[in-house]
Amino acid sequence: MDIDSELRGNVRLLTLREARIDAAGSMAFKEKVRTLIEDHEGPVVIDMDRVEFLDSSGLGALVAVMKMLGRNRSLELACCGPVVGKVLTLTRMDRIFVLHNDVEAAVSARDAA
Amino acid sequence: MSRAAAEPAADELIRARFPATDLAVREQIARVRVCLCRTRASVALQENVAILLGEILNNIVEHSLAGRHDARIALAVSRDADGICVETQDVGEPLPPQLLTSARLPETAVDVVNMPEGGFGWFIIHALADEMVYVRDEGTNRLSFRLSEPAP
Repeated sequence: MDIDSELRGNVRLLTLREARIDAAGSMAFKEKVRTLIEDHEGPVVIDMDRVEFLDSSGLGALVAVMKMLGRNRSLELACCGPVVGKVLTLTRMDRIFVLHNDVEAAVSARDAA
Repeated sequence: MSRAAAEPAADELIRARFPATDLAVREQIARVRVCLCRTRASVALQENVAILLGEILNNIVEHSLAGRHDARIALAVSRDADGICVETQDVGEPLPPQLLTSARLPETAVDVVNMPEGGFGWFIIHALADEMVYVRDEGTNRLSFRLSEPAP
């Protein structure tokens, strides 16, 4: 699971380099994100721009990441493509995660917060 | 006039048998998407087929054939005037009947530590499939469904 990680101010920005979060990769995604955010206490933004496919296992992995963030931080997803957007809308998880159209706007909104 | 002429056969896009593994499922979904690109199906319909196939095939791998990676899944995808038809077959456990009628979303109005990480799959299936038929026949599960062009 290929994920770039960089610190922008106090925001941890994770950029997915994979085309899918599916049943074959959801566990690796979850564990990789866990290691990338475990020592980080600030906001986390995930750039989903490269992700062309998400299934319910991948959705479950995103929920697991949201739980890692605890009660005081939301899961912020930027640039969700059409399939990811459709799965989130169908399952109404678009109301649970915080969605952004633009990575830079998401990061600066969180960094200022 | 023959029956075949009155009801033109669906245009078969894919007929495949593959191992019941996550990686084989991923590969088949990619293959189906390539085939659908060559049809007149809209991009939205192609996406719906991919999403639905992911849920149906993962369900077979994880539940029907749980752990039996030597077992195979048969998949047929065809196109007719009304949309895309998909049929899967496997020799695993029968499908629990309550899954066939409808599905509810898991409860998400809960504390974050209790948020559900599963239970979304069958809701997605029912949301996208227009007609779903399930037959259990001599130890074989045969599940077929149709997806129509989504409203613009």
